Amino acid sequence: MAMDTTETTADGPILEVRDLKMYFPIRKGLLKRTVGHVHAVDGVNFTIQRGETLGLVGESGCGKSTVGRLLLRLYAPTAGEALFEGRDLMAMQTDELNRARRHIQIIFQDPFASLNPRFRVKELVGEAYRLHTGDKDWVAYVADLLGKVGLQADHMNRYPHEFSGGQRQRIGIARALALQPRLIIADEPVSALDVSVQAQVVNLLDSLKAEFGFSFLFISHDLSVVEHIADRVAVMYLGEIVETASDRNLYQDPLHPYTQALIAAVPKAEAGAKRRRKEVVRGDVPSPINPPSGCRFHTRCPRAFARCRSERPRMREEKPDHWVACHLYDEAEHG
Amino acid sequence: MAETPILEVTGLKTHFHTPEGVVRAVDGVDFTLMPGRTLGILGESGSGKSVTALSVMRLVADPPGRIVDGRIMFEGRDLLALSPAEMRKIRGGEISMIFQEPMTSLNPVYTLGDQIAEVFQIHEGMNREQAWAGATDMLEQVGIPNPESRVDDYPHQFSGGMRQRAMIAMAIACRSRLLIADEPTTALDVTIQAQILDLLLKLQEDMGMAMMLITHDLGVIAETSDDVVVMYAGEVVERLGIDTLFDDPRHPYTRGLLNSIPRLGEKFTRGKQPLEEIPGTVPNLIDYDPGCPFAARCGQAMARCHTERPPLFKLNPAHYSKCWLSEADAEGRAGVAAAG
Amino acid sequence: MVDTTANGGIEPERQDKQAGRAPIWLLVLRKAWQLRMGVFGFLLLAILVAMALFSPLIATHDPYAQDILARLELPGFLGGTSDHWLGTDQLGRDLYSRIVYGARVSLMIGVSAVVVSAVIGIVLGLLAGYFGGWIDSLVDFSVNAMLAFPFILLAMTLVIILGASAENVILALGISNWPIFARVTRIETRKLREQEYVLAALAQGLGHLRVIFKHIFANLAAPLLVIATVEIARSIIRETFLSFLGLGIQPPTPSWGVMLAEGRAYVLTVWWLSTLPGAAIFLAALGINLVGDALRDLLDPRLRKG
Repeated sequence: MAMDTTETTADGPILEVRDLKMYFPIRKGLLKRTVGHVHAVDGVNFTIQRGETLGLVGESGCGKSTVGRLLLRLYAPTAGEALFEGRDLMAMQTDELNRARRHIQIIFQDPFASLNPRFRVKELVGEAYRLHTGDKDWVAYVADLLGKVGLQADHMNRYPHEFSGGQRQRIGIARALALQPRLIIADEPVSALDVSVQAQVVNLLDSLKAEFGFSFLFISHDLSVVEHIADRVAVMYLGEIVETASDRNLYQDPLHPYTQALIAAVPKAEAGAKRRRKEVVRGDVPSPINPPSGCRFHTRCPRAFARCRSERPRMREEKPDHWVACHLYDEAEHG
Repeated sequence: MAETPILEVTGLKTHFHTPEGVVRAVDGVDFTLMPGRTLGILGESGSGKSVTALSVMRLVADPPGRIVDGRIMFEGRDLLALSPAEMRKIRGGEISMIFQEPMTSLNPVYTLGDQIAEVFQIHEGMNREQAWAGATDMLEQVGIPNPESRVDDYPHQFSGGMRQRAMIAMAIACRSRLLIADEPTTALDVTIQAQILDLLLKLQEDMGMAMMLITHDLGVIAETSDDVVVMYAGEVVERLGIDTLFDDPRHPYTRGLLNSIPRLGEKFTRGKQPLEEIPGTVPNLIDYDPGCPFAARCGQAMARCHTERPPLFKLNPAHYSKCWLSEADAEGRAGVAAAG
Repeated sequence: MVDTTANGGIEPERQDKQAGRAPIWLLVLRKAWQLRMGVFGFLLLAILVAMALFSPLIATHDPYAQDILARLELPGFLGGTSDHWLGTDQLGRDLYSRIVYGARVSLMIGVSAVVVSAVIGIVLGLLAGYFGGWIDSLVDFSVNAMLAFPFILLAMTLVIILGASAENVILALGISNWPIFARVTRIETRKLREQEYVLAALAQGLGHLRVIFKHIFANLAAPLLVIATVEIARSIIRETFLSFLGLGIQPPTPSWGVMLAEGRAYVLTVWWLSTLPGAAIFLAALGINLVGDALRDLLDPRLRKG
């Protein structure tokens, strides 16, 4: 372990995202003219405290994965700031960005697509570490890391295709840990795995977090896994965060109708679930190219009223540290 | 039992011949499905659950696959003994199937109306106008808004959830008596998944059809099924009623699966605990092992488990387990019990 | 079956939907045939390379030595009795030895020309596919413009401007042929750039050049090698064509194209003077193409055993 971690600033949140926006242009025709935009992320705010795990949940197309990739500046954002230990990632120049990226690492969903098939495990895990530190003993370092993620040191001379899906995800985790990052972004890290292997990886992430003490942004569509792993949860819908609260408050006392619908829609793996099925939220998720006016959920919301169609609700702290963007909680109407 | 099963599968084996060897994708599957009920087939990837479904439809590509043994009785007829022409009449007419990815199961160059109307023309001998009216009617039944105009749309003009509805419309067009649904909601978001499951259950009730629902998701099983078959490495390891699945599962694999998934609310009632892990990975299906296929990953494996394959023990008429641990409680074995 | 550690990625659940319609015995026969053609190709290539590398050992005579008294000797298979077993040409030079030395010229020019076009094409293709934007538009336009131009006309024009010599033939062939490499590299790079493992490399703070030339190029090497092999065969044929027209290798250097041109005058009487170098060209091109096909099969991960 020869990583330099001296530049840590002691206090304040590790990450503060302010009004982040990402509009992807849609180009058409011979001249590739921009004919519209996909509003993938549209004004997102959240904060991750040091050592905290923030779960970011939402359905496909809600923009949660785009948020993760934006934080690594794999895309150029349309607008907004992301302060990592006080410095804005979105404003950094190449050199500064490359230095910052060491401290923020990502684990991808697909363990088959995220490992370069032409590289040995040794290089996959150790390359960036070797380049950034110049450590001569990098092979021993890699061996040590492989042990920590539940692989064997002699795996390091093999290629990714020699491993199972679960083992590949462990390699991806070792790669993310190699630079001893202070923030790890995991984008659906267990969704592609078999049920019987998911638990292994969830437990591994939990124990590594305890050992290494990194902060964690856990992006997933799976509400049960997020509940299990997160301290706080943010719910995204069509490019916006509609509710943020501690894990317990969000799941036990969801305020936003969308959060309530999401939780109700999760199939319950318990006896009698079939007899207890409830009415679920209707309709499809509207297109992010022309998102609905006002509150974006109003087209599907069972409790929508006139204001929801015209006015975009603002985030408010409805209960202590429980934030929600919904007109149901506007003071005048509903106290 | 008084009622006769609509589908009875015994000793089904479907193997694939590949350059690397024989893949025993399905290697000894038995189950029965009663009319109007839902049978959930639970398994991970590689468990053989999809090949089982394709075998019932006789849609396994040959080569490389081949049904090498077993019997598939559908309403008293042995499907494996039918001629290809007779089987074609059954497919889409009496048994229909929907798949995980509706985009690849709908033909992109025809409108939905064309595709549904075709089913009516082939199986019901309707003329074009009748078939077209029937298609519009089906789209309405599966909850697609504005069916009169959507009937002229092409599959790519529909969202994922709407495509799955259209696929269901096609499948139930001829009021088939058995619907096989292979991971019908796996590609869908959770709110859309709930809508599709609702739709399937409602249609089943209206039409009285039996359903075979294949999934890896215990939650989906819990919310839809009456009876459950748990598959592992090409074999049925446990057969039981849905309530027994959660109250008294016997096979260590079934128990492992139940304990390895996080459940909503559990963390707040019991405190955060690590999930129970099933160590190792799914075995490959080429190297035939004389013992129990789960023995290598099983925490309760005994010496016998590694050398001798357990039979399907009958614990009671509705509960079977393929595990030596169940031998002491067993009334008999599946093969013997089935005769009586 | 996600977990296919040891069995080569067999996926029974999906296989049945993708399986082809051909019966298995036909597939087996086809595979065996392909393998045998590959072996044949490698054999031809090995002979070609051996002839090029060890020309002085394999040749029986000095390819430049003229013997006016022994002009147009009959080859052995036509009843000739001299020590020139493939006979001699119009200047009395040993035909066999000239063919052997011709292999050296052909292979050298074929390989060098491909190296030139591959280097230009791959670098431009990587940069265009990776960075996109104006550089992509520029490369794309140049590729299309050059592909719209008849290849041999382009090469001929270049040789005429540069002057006929071995180096200039290489340069001309290389410069006219880079769009083939650029096009494939550009398209593949665009796909690879979106791969998560490339994003992962970027996310680790690695620089663009390293990501391009190490991470992306590693995944391009196999398909490009196959293309390069086939292009070598085509370059050999193109060289003989240029030489035949007098725009390539100049006599008395023993090039197959030159020999073909020189033998042309005697084609009705001393037909083997042009036919034998022609056969050499044909076999060389055939051998290299068969090797290319075999490489394609061997390097295709879908056909390769895990």
